[in-house]
Amino acid sequence: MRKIENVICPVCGSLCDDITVYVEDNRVVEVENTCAVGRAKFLNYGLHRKPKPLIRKNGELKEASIEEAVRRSAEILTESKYPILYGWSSTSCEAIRVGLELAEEIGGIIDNTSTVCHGPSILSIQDVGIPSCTLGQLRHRADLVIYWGSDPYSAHPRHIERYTVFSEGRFQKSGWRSFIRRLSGKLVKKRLSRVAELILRRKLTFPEEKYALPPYFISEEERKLVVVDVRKTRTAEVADYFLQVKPNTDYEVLQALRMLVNDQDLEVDEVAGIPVKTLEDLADLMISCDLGILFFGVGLTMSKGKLRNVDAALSLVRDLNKRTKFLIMPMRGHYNVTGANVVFTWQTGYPYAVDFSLGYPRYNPGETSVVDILRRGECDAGLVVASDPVSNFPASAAKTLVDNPLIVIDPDVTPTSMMADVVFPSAYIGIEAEGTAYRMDHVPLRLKKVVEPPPNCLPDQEILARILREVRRIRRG
Amino acid sequence: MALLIRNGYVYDPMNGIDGEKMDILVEGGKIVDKLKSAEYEVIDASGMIVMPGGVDIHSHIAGSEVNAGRLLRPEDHAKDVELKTEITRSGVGYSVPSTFTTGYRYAKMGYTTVMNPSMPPLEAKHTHEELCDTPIIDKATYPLLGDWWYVLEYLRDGKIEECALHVAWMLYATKGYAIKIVNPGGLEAWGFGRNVRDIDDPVPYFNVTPREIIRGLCKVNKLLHLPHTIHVHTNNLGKPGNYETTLQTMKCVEDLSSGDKPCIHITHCQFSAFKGVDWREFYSGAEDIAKYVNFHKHVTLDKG
Amino acid sequence: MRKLKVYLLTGRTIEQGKAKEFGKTSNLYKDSVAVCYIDPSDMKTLGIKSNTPVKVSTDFGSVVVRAEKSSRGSHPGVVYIPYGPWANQVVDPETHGIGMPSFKGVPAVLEPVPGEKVKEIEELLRDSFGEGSKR
Repeated sequence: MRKIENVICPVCGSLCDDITVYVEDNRVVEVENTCAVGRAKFLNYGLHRKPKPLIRKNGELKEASIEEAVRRSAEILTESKYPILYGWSSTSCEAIRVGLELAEEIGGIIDNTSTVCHGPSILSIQDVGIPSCTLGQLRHRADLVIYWGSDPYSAHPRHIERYTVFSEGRFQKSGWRSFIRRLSGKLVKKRLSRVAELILRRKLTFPEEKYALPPYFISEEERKLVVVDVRKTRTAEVADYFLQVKPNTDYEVLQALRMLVNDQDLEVDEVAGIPVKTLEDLADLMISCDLGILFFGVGLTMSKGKLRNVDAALSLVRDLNKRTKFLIMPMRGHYNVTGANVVFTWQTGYPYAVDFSLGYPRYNPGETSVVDILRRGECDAGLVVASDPVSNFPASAAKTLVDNPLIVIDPDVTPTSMMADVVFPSAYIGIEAEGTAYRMDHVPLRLKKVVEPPPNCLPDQEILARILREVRRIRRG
Repeated sequence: MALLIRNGYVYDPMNGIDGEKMDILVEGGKIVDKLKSAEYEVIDASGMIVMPGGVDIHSHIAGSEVNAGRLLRPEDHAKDVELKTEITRSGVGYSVPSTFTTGYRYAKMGYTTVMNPSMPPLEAKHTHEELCDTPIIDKATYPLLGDWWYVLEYLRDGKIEECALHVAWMLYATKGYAIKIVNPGGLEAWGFGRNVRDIDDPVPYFNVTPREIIRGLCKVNKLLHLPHTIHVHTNNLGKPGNYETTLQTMKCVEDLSSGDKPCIHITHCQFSAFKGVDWREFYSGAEDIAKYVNFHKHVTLDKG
Repeated sequence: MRKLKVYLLTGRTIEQGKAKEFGKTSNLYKDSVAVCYIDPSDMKTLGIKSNTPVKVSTDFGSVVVRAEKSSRGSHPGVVYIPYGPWANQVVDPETHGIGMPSFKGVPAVLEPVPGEKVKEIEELLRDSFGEGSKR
């Protein structure tokens, strides 16, 4: 059995690089340091993968050779007038570069999953700018960590222990000590009140102060974790302070905080149901930290206001920099969605929703973004790489994708591959193939290959290169 | 087809030619003394400068901060587009061109080499990936080492040789060409939103001054016999009155030079050459800087 | 049967994250995403228990999923369906000119539908998309 250290986990934007993998008989048999999702991927990859490429003939997907599948794919793409090339966030930068070349060759639209995730954040960043940093800076320096509309427990399980409150840094200690203290404090309080109830022979009630910040907050020196969300998520349960906001009200709350940070008075008693006193305490907390970080998730981009919510968050953090050091970072979901944005931008100038149909890159989210093109019924063919839009797009958009010739390159069987006309089972990047990926803070890391892929499962980069070669051969006549 | 470039002012530093009016002959892909072919193309270079190549010593063309610039300017890319052709890729230009466009345009202008002057070591791979997608021209890049924690700690403790060992490894690991120093000490202070006021202002938490950083890395550079000197973006860049900081920066390594060889390069010096006290009253300090440079062989600079 | 007006959220859960690695045609995956987490007081209002079928309807469609009591504190009037083919039957596809559909904060109606079944993935895809491209 081989032990391989410093393996990078190819699942979420945290891109944890401290994984240890044990390999026996060309199979991963055990892993250390992963979260539950990483563990599930390393131990179950390929179990549901079809062994050979498939082509739909007479309504049914039938096994085919790689050459046949490449030829059929190239035919579909060269015959189409307005093809969509979508996905890209769960594959390597090397594959993305070939994808861009292919999109340019056939004059199609190339878009990545930002379009349904942090696309609005990018639009806001293009309007407002962004004060940000790498995750290591936060591990070392951040004493106030806020997750707004983001639940790392569900989507980035090791984020807090690797990069924020439960990590140790040069200038900051881990917050787990205070967490344990609070937990014991809660337990002790519970027990003492039980004893008191038995002695007094009546139920005790504690006045509910729904929004009040804990009294120790501003004075205590250890790292603090604040969560703002519409439900008390599991992340909120370990937070020092949880602020519950009503759905679709983040914009007002963020703007109210901005006013307070800018020393303006609020002429109301509450904003979106939250007492102004609470917002004032929160603003004080943000102003008095050494270095604060606001992580935000799709809670902001997907609810009412969308990019305007992010606008408000970016502006709030920019304003906070008049008083202290404050940074902001979107919690990117897939392990290489950042890489997709980065590669798209350096080659075309634009981060997603790139249209090559006029022979040069054009960018206009709302017009050149995939969901809109699908809803308008304008695309007539699709190539999906390492993504599952049939599961994750609104059904009316996914329908256009399904109703037209569809090529899928994906190691897994997904609803998208089930509805495709050509399917390539590819190799898993980070397990069966090497590749470069960019972490959510733009740090590039090289994913390792720890086992050999099965014979018909090529890396995405290779499959795309073959399709591109065949497309060029057909176009030359 | 053989080529005769006639009558230009030739600059060829490697061969000691410094503005001599002469002809250059090209045949079979090489510069030759005499042409064998009877047929050749003639370029009349009268009144023109002829150089063996064009080297841009400092141009931000690749890496994370350059890409951030591209991201932030979608509206200006739309004004300047490059169509795909049979042999070239499409792209966009204006304030921060996309990578293919960068390579093509530099080559069209006659440049043969471009140096990307700042590469954050942690993201070195990003810089190199972009350079790989920058066609035709030769390229290299300089890792930012002036605020690297290991360097700050070694220099604080006076451990020049250990520092040199580490820097050698960093250049190898990041595939870097030269030691780049930007606002020495100030970049680290920026970690908590602060800055350094002059070259003797100690870096918060690290107890080392910009002067010590510049001198330390200058010594390291000499120990390692690197092909380029330390490449320095001075403290207080852009601030009225900063010409004094620039003079101090150049002076602080005067004693470290050997013979006539330069030991420090001040980059984009126009932004470090301001006199005056504020934005209303600032004016050029270039003359003082030029005077110093003309009388001291240990400094080179580029205007930027 | 009683109905309740709610806001629908969709998003990730750790269970959905794990289950997708076991294959999206697996029962584990279906159990992790064909589910609606409801505040306990709302469940009382509707008179329903966990593990019974409920229908979530919006202006864009309706879907039958399994009701589960939410342990995410008190959030009356807010329900949560994890990302996936079931959730995407009912989210708002309107992108407001910026490309991004509305996956959260969608006004919806929740009602118990005893006796109705939660569709299997193949059935759901067939009913939603027909047979796909038939070339």
